[in-house]
Amino acid sequence: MATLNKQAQKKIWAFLALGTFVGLLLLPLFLSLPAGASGGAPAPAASTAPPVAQPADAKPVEKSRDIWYKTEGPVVGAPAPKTTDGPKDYPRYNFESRVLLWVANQQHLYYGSFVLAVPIFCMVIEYLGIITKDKALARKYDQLAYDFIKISLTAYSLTAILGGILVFTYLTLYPTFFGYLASIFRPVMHTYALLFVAESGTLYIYYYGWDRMREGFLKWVHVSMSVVLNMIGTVLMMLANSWIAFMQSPAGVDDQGRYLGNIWHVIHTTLWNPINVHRIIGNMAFGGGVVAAYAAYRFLTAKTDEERAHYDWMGYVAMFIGVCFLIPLPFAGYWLMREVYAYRQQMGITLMGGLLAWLFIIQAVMIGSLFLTTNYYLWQGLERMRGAERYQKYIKYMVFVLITCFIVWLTPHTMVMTPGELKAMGGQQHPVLGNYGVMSAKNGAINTIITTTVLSFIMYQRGNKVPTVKWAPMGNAFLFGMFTVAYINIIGLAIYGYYIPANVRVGLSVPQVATTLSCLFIGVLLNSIMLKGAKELGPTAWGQVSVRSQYALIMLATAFTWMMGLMGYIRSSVRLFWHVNEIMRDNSPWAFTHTIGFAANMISFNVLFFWITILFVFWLGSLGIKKAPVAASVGQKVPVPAGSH
Amino acid sequence: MFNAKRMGFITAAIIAGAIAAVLAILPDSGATQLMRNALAIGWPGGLVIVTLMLYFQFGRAKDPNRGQLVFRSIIGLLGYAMFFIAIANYATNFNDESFGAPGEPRFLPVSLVMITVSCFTMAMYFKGLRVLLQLGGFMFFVSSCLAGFGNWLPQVKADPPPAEAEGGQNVKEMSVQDRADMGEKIIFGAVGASNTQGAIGKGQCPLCHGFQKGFLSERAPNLFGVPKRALEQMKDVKYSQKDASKRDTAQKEACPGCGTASTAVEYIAESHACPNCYVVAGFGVKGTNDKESPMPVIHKSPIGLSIDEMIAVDTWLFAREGEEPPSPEDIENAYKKFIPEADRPKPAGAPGAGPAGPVPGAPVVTGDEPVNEIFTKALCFACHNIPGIPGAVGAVGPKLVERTNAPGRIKDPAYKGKATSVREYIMESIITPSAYVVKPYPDNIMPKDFGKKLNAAALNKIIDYLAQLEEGKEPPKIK
Amino acid sequence: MDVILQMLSGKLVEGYMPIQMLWEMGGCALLFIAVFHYLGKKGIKVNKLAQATGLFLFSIVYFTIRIYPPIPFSVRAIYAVMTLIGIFMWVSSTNESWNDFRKPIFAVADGTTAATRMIRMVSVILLPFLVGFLSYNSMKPSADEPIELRTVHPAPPASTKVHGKTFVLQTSNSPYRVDDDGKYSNEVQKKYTDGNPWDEKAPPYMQYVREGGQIFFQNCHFCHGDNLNGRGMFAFAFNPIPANFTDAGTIAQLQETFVFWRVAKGGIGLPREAFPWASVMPPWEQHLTVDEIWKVVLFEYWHTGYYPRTWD
Repeated sequence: MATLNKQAQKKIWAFLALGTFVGLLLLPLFLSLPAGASGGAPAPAASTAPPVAQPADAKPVEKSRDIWYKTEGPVVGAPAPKTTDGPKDYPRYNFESRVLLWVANQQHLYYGSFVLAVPIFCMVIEYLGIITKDKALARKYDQLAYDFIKISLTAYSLTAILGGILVFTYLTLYPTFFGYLASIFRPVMHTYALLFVAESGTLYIYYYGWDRMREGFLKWVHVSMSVVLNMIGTVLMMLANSWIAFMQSPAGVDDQGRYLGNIWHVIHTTLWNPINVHRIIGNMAFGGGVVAAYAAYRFLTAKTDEERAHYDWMGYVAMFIGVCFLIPLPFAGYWLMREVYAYRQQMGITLMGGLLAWLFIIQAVMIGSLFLTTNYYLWQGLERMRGAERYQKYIKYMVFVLITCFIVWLTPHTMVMTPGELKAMGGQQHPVLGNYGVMSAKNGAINTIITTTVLSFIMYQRGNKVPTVKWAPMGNAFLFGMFTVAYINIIGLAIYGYYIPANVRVGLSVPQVATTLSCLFIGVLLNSIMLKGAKELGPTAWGQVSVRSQYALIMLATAFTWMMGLMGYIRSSVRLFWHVNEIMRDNSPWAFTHTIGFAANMISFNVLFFWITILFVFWLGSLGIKKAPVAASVGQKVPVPAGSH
Repeated sequence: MFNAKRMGFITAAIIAGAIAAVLAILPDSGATQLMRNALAIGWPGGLVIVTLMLYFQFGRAKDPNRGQLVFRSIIGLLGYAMFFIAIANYATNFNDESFGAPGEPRFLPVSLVMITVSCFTMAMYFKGLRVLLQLGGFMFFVSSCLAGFGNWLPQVKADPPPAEAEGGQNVKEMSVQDRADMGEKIIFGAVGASNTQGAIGKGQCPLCHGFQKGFLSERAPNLFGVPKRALEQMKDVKYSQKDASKRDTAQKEACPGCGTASTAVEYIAESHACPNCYVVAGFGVKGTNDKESPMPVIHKSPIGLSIDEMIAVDTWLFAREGEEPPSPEDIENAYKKFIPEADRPKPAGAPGAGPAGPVPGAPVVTGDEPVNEIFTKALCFACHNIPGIPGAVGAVGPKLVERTNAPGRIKDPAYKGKATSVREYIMESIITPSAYVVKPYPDNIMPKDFGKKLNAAALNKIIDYLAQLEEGKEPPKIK
Repeated sequence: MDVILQMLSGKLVEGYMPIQMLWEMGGCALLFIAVFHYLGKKGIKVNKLAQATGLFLFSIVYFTIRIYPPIPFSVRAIYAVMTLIGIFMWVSSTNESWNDFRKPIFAVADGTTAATRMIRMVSVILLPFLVGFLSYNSMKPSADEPIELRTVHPAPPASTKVHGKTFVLQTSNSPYRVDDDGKYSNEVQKKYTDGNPWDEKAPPYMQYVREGGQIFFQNCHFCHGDNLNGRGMFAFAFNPIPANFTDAGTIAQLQETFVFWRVAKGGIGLPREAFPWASVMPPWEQHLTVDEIWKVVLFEYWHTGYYPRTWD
């Protein structure tokens, strides 16, 4: 009991220290926000002091209306400049400036996302290490967290360098536009820079203090620091998001782009929060992918069985984190899309049904392949376990279900065909496949794919275990029944969707998603409970897994990266020919929207550039390793994160 | 089980054969060109590898690994060649508007495939870099699939719409539809808002005028069908089209010698410039026997539309009836006829650039403005006479000298409201105008939605001001 | 029951085709598994590579021949790639089957026996030719019409002006989709799905549907067909042929205002990505009044039984 009290005390002190720390670090933000608001808004002051001082030539403060919030405010800034094509507004090399900016932006974003995501894993894993009672396991977790942060440290300086390159690219190639943005976001940009300093400081203390703060109270301070680190990181990201959100759905300015003195309106545009949420979740999935790739790389280069076991496990954990965040990602995306539709319906239709719709088909391919790869990795994981052979015979049926759903999922609404084929088919719509092209079929397909993935995971959890709890037969029957009902429900609703009006049909996705999610949560939870104290048919032999599984991890990582590039491009290009939507027009020669193929090439280039550099970073990281990671004695109980959730 | 060396020979043979075949059969084709470009970029490295190969072959005659080393150099050379052909392909086909010859961006994924092959081939023989090469190759492979898919889909490039002309707000150069849209925006605050009840724009017209058939329009004539009706109105005896001096109104002519209107456009222009010149029966200021109009002069403060804006408004009035609107020059001439040179509003920058009117549903004022601005923006001035507020000489409603009026009215036996003080009475009259209606003014004229349009701060300012007003005394200074 | 019998007899049954195709694919897969399971029991081991090749060829044949009308090549290619991926996932799911699958390939690459050496020789010679032929084939100029990436339902404008009136597409409603009391109602169509428009005492909604029908048959049915299925008597003079309203992918996916805009502005009023030159639909605002256009749209929805899309 006494120890527990001591623990609790430690926790309290740690949280107090943490609070102070956070307060100090976020101080600049709080100071600058009201200062920005009032400093940029002389209006309230105008009604009191200045008119008394100089009533004669006091100009009346011109007021104007916020383009989004519809409130009135004093005009503070200059209107958005009207650019013309030429070296004044668009100085250039003998090359498309937009492409250069694209590369700079995307590389900065990749590294930034990675650097923001990894500390979040570190925090969770380090915390797990602290609360785990098993000493060996705790050490293993701690080592893993340390490994993670080590990877991100090299990437961190690269992020800063790329950020610098990005700013220079903006300043040199788009000076007028950047000047306008800077004039509006002046206080935000400075806060951003200050926070970056705070982030660096915290990160270095966190990393270099790892060994010193290893024991007792100091360890709690250390883990608290990771919380601070992540808070700063998140605020940083949100501030950066406010710029792009402003470009897409401006607020806080009037219809000529004149700043109206309320910095909060400028930051808090209608798409800001959806983008924030989407990005945080996306960063986590992406970070998981990169770490999984790192683990795969180390696994494949490993010389000893211990190393192989460690990195196999690390890859599994990273993949697990990545996929955990992949599942809520579509919901965040849905919210963002809804807000886009609410903001400008045209923008929504350009995305989903118009010019950019084909890019969403590529995205559909990627989402499908991510799920397929996840399943494949889990099936390969069965090889690690003796006794899992009994599940391998089901794989072929699951392959069939997945591929069939994938085929439905990929059947395009508007088919690409030659006019000859069009005639042979007798119209734009195919009587059989046309039905796969609509929302109802897609919803059914994707939910079936996710449910099957859950089934794969449950199968994997069971691998080498046989439940011994008394109610095991009943539990099994319940699981079986639940999945059967789920499949029937999802597919039945998908078919029913053809017979009802669209507004009701939209509502059908709710029970479908609910079915999938309840399968996910109830199924995994029930399975975990059933496997408590289960009989093991054989040990989980970490490291004894096929090379193919590691390629699946690489595939996941590459696909995440590609998808991020793609979605970023879609979000950015939906502004079409605007720098700032409906306020500042892009009058450069590159205001057109590139072809899909060109975009795909650029995204590939960015992805590969990122991976070549990050492989280099990995290689650097492996140079610095003097000793092998803490050898986990083979055969010892190894944590499976799923069981603990 | 798997003989890598044999595989290597086979691969080398295939690649070398393919390259040789292309060079031999198609000496002038694009592929040959590509290889030449690749050679131009990558010859130094290639030279190094060849030198190495020669050194291994002849310089190390005694080395037992000689065969191995030479073989590796050959493979390395092949991989290197593929890599640079891929880069050359990327460089030439990067953009369909590449310098010189037009490129084919569709071929770029081919580069990725070539690099994939090159990576995997080399991975077989260079043990130290094997994993890196394989991983890299696999990533190139995944990317090539995705990029290939993207390029396989038919391509569409979207050009931006033509840029608006510089300062292209010139009302005369707009298309008829754009001009009408601008007019609608001035009247109702937004394009397409003309069907929305309560929508009101900079021109503030819908406060009194109805615009749709059947819309409530008690304070001023409903303007539905006005282009046609104008022709009939002009024949009215009261309008006295022949001789303006015979008119029985407070102001007989818009300006001395301006005369009367002869077309519908001129009629509308005259109505805007001189509301008093002719008052439609029943819509005059109460008690003046339709000699005076409650409508403010539109080109003067506080509404102050420019001529360009009035052109847009008139265009809309015609266009929305499905009639061919008169040309902007005609409308401008009509206004010039009724507004003397000195009176004409200066074009203040681009028309329409001024503050947009309040948007339906949004509060009209923030409450931070000085009280006179509140009166103007809330449009009180249009109907009420408020001493001390410039322009507030309306006669649709009673004069707002509330310090004098209110105590008497609260005591009036007909008073049904709940107010007990002057302030409460003013508040009540603004929020629920029907609680007490001053005689002889009719009920249901004052809008009942000021409670929504004005916030507490604004109401307070209004009440503060009105409660100080006394009949016959100087109005207080506006802060 | 009748339907199932028809399906079993190998007929594609109208109205059930999409789900029938899925069932058939499932049946074939099960049959395939069962056959090799049975052969395995009999002691005849069929190599995984052979199984995979067989399955792949079968899928190609199925998608090419079985599904009618013929599927365009682009979709067939997608399906083939998907099938390939599925086959790969299946054969490589366990080490045992993966090794079985790779064995013949390695045998050929290594040339362990005279036969495999022969195969290897032939393939080494043929492979460059195959690659060369494929490149040649994809590069050679062809007389085919180019594939067009036409967006059939492009992003509409925010508002459209018809007969001098502005309609904001997001907020406008059909003035004739009204309940008995004359108020706009989303439910009225459902209420009168089986109504009789010829009834003298029909509610206003049905009356408007009848008027819309008259307009349709005076103006539209020549191209869009008596059954609104895009197979009117002039339909096949056009390329592409007119829109088929009975398909789940046309008006069922669109807002009523979108259809209104399309009818009023016709093919010529399409934005660029929808290839205005590829549609001969006349701008009907030149021939019909606003009310008539609304009525004809109302009729199209009522007749096909689809509901206009609404934004929740």
